[in-house]
Amino acid sequence: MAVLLAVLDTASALGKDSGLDPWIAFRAAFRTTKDDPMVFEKVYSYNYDGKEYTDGAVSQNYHLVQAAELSQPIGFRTSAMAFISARNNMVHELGHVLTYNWSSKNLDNVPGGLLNEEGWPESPASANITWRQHPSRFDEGTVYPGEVFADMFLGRVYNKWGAGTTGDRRREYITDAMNSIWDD
Amino acid sequence: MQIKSNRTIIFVVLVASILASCSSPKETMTTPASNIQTQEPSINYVPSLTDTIITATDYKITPTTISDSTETNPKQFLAEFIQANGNCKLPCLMGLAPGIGGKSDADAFLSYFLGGHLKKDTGLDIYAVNKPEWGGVVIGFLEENSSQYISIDIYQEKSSIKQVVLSSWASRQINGKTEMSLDDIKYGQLLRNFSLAEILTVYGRPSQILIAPFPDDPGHPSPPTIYPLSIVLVYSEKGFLIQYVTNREESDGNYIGCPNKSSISISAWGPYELPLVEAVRYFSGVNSINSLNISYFRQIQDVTSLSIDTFYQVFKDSRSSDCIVTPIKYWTTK
Repeated sequence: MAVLLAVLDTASALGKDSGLDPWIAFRAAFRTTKDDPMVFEKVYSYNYDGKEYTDGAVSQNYHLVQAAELSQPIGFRTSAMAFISARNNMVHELGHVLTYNWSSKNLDNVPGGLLNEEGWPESPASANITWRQHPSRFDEGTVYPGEVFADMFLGRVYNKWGAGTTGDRRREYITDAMNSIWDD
Repeated sequence: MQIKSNRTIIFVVLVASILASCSSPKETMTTPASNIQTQEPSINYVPSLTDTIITATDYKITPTTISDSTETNPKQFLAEFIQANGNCKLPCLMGLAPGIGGKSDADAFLSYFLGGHLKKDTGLDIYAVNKPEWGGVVIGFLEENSSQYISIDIYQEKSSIKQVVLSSWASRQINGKTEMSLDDIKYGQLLRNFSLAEILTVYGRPSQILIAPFPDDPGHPSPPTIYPLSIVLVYSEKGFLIQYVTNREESDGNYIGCPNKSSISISAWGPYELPLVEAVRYFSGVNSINSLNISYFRQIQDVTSLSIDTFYQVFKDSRSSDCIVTPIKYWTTK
């Protein structure tokens, strides 16, 4: 269900961005066809950076997203919080997939002023990565531009930004990046 | 997460086909675990500031007006400006006085950055905006292998400055990669007047101290993942709060945070009555207190053996490398 909603919301946002029918916009942005569709695979585990994970998801290539166990209600994390975080996880992965499909655009060439942990929407403590799905703490403090881009893509889909100047700078960057796709 | 190799496929969802057919700390620890209170904090505890109003009688300022400057080295000028907090005292922040300053002050401040002349200096990374209800600037100081960023946001209401928020961070570049850094020397110099010891020395005991060691994210246990620990000093009678975010370490059933290495953020509102949830609503750091996670925070005396007075006595010493210790059992959610 989280996967389906992620796709619907992404298509809707891309439709608004481009002025196209949402599904046409989705297929154009991700370059899918009837014979070469976007595939979401449910897996028990996946490999990332040499480690095996049984939680979360990974984008394997330009049309393949693998999902292990997504966010679950636990402790103070309610079912609603878990569902939103799971949905956002899938949208984040679609952000990666987008960069694979438009590699010539260098969409994830994010400027240094955005390679940090500021300018993200608020999240509750029990679902802290709701709007910053891949914070630098997952990589021992290294901020990977591709992960920052994927989370800004998430912000673009839901038009949700952190307060203040850094949030505004993120919004401006992803707006320009998405416009560069539709200009083609 | 991005790419890597394939693994066991249990179930395949062909969404696109549907679419196609549809159209470790080494420092001294101040709090032995055996001395810590055993009372469990209330889950529904929400700190509040609604009963406090400051009087503006001691809040007179003569800040530096940044737009009047005729500097020849903008990078040095801005570093000195930040170090001196615009020649004013909190809750006045970077020369901007909430409750006293008006739209013209905010416009004058931001116009310095919006002129475009600073972008020619390769040692600075400037991004500024000025909108009807708010404006702000991010000032990046770029060094060869490191950078320090200061973000200043100004929120207005009825043409007066209602709140000023500062966020800051440092990073280093290693082998073409950017890493967040808590021990950047230039960052420490830039914000030395906001160091924990300096704040306690100049402004005295805070009215509240809140702490929260952030919980583990699923699939990313600690160790090896290092999570933040936030310490928030609330000066309700002075109209500002300051947050120190450091790394959350673990030892012998305790979370430990050492504030001498931390990133700093400040919210200043001045002579207003302001609930704490409003005071933190403009923080946008993943590792920061905010209006959605505030109920997770606890008063320091409820979850450590430190009273506010003990904290003040220990950490006002600039040579202190002490750490805060809080039992993990207070922070488990099940």
